[in-house]
Amino acid sequence: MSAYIVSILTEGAIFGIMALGLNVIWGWSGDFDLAYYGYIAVGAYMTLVLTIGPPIAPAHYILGLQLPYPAAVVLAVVSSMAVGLVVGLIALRHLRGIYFSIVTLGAVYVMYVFAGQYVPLFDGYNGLSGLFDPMGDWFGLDYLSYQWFLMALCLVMFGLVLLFMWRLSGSRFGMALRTLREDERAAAAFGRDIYRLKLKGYVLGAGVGGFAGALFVAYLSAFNPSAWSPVEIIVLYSAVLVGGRGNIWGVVLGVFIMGIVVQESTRFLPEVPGHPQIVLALRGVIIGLVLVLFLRFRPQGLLPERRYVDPAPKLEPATRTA
Amino acid sequence: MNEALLTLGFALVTASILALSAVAFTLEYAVTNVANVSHGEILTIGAYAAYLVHQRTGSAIAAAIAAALAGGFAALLMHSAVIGPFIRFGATPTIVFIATLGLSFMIQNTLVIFFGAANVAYTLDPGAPQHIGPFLLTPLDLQIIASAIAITFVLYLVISRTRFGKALRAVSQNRELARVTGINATRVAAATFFLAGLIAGYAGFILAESVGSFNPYFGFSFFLITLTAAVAGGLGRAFGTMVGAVLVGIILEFAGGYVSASYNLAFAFAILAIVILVRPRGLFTNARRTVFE
Amino acid sequence: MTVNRRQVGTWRLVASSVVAVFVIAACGNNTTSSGKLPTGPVTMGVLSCFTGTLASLGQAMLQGSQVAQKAINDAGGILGQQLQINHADTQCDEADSVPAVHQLLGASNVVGIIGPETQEINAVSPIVTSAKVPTQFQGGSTLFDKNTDPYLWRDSPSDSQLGVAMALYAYKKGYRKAALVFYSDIAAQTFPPPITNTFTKLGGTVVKSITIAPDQTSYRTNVQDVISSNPDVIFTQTDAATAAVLFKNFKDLNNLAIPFVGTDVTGGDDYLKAITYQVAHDHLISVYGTSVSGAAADEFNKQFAAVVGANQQPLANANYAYDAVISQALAIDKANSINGPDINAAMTSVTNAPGTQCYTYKTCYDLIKAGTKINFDGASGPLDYNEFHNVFGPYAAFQQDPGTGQQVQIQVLSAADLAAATP
Repeated sequence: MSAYIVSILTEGAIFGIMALGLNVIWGWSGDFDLAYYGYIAVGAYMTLVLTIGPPIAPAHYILGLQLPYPAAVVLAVVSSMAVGLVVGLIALRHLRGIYFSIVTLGAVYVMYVFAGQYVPLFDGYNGLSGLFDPMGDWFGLDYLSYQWFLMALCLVMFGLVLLFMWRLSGSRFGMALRTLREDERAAAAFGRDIYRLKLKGYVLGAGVGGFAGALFVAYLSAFNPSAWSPVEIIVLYSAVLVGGRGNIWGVVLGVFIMGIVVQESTRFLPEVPGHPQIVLALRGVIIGLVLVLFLRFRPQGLLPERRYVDPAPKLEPATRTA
Repeated sequence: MNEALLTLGFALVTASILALSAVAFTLEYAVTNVANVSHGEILTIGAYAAYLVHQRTGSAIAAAIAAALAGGFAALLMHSAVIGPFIRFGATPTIVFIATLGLSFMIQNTLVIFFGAANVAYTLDPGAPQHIGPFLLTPLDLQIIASAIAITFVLYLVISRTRFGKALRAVSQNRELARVTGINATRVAAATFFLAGLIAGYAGFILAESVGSFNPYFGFSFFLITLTAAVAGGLGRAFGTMVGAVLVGIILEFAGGYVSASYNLAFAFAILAIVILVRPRGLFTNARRTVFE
Repeated sequence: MTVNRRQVGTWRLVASSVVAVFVIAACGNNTTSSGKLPTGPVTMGVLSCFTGTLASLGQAMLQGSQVAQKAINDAGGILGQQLQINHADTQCDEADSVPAVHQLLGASNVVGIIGPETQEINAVSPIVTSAKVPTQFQGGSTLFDKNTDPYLWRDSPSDSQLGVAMALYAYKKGYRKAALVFYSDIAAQTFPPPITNTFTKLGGTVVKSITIAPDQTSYRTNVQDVISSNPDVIFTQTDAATAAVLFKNFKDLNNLAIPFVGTDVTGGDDYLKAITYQVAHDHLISVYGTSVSGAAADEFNKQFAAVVGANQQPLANANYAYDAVISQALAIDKANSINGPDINAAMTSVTNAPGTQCYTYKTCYDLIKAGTKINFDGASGPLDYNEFHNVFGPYAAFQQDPGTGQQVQIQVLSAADLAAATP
């Protein structure tokens, strides 16, 4: 049982990093980006092709180097930022709202199709595998101890990303992103270069997603197109929404509730004999219902974003916060 | 050249179904300004309703009517229970868009609970294929194309000749102004959704039995292509959408034939992305795009 | 400004969680082994997809496992204890498969696993190997042909073997020009090479090989393409939904004039229902593993009727899951232990020759209790594992009987012919 809990905590930490990256793009910049999972996948795939060595027939994939894991992670993050840059350059120029969402959906779908169909890239539907216990041999860990090590590593990484986001939230850049979200015209009037700011935020988010993907693949030891499941994606987006878009603590709470509590507790519901799919489909209904209810009654999430109020002396009565 | 014409003939069938689905979607968008992601589920519900009724009665006509009615009521319910309240509450289109995504997920899984995730086989006898000019089509194909044209014509009459159609156009152009002139925008929107649902439910029926089998997820996959057609034609413009559907159907059929078919949907999305980037108002309009949509 | 306090607060949170983790790690140890003899019901787990478009795979596996469960429990259970079957949903998603297998291992304490599918095996195998739990892989991936993992077994034929059998059957039937129509998942990467190589080696030619995307609403352009290349036979595997459309398009365009040769997937009830039994009877032959004698298959059908109902047919591959559970149960009986390494070591001694052949759990268990060395032959084949834990069986061609709704064996392909045909 402890191995199960360790695996849940590890996955939860990775999920938390994913959600924090999404929060930059969706929470702070305010763009409902559907391509986000693609960056996670790019991070995962690139980490694999940089660590598992040359392909053995009949497998095909690009690169096939055998770099140490940390080096591979860095390169994987760079790759996902590069892909994010390309998508962002196209999508952020003139598109907002649902048009932006649809184009990003198209982008991620094209990525998915290429990863699955174009065999020389990442071995198509077989996917890649073989990343066993990265960095485990540095410490001489056996399999079970490694699970604890990985969990600790992921939790620490999550803590670091959280710290980074917290600093970023209060920084000029973080605040600038949020002003863009609130009112682009006003921001433009104040001399902000909207496009560059959003692009920076987008690429940063993509990089965090790639980092999460690199850790994810250490957890899974493999990755293939089946991992691009819509359920995972909906749980991720619901987590950000339920917890509180824009508020990093809210995002953490959301990951805990949606990712851990809802996802895992429904695993243990009693089965209906003869119809194994009922309880599992019920989980899907619950997740969708939670999403809709929150959007309607608490769109700001459980922990709404803190409003930054100017501490300068009040010259006039406070107007309503938008 | 012969092959190309044959492909064109096949494309007409896909395009007919696509046109119905896309015009229903665009009607929904027109009156609410919301891209309804659970639109595909209306088709799925229509398909299941047709299947159940056909099982009981053995009549294809009854099944078609059941599909349309089921779709109509499903769409009406979507509007009254989810989309309408969200709009009244003042949510932005993106928020409602996400809500319909959640709704779509709920409906798919609910169908899995009741019908199971496995495929349901549903076939009508198509009849022998015949050569109609340069095309090779079965009598069932001809029925599909004919019914699509008929429904389109009726829809045209409703929108352009009836009072309801006028109200619909008013609400789609400027909701507030329509209200001021005394039109109950919410009622018009609800009625439009019902109408759109009738069409989409019927589309689900013909799609299901033209494909031969379906499962709870089948409407959603068709939705992606529907979205492409609707955007290509111009969101909110019913007749541009139909032309868009024909174009998209043709492009997909040709792309599937001459490039590997696995890249089909990727093609659809590439088209979609290009259209949005170049002419987000649709291919058949003159409006210039703005930065702040 | 409250910055400093929050900053310190965050660092404290991070630091204390790290410390806590290592403290727990120091206390944490291996899951306690359940001892050698079972003290309560024995649990096996089915690990597969139960939601999503491939949900029929999991359903079939669970179905077969539950049929085996009945046969086992009726005969007195495993080492005197009743068998329970739990399941965990991977959603056919590698990412979800890891918590799912941990759930089976940790919360259900399974002694054996049935599954997973090809999509998930890469992520699952390191976990089950470290946990030392015998796992009966149910996918056809040819990458598994050279499996070196001692805890993974596969009682269903590799696509590479099945491809050879299909090509051999078609060639023997007199077909010389073949087209391949597979859908774009892992099956498309594993079947075409062995089929093409074998068919060519025997003297035929492959005139067309296409991959189609699943769940499209029309394949007419592709179908027309295939028809224009004039094949005598079409090799195919797709899922049931895709097949329905495909066969429909072929019917529309050439009235299904070209015969089809399929795989175990095309012999499954969901596939046959999707294209209708009559069409299957008239135009489709499915090639897959067959039992050495009819006795094991009869027993499976009997138990199946008792569990599921007399008017239902087994889903595709349910019989492999059935054999997997029975062979694992027999291995436990033989090893007299539910300890993973013991079961694993005993596996080949109950499934492989030499030994007294037995076909049902009851007879096999009685023989074990009497101290006789057995050779269990299952409903899906003789289950003789080679050094890579793969099986090779006799293959047969099956045709659907629309009246009874069952598959009827019409021709057997002998092991000698298969060996000669393998490129």
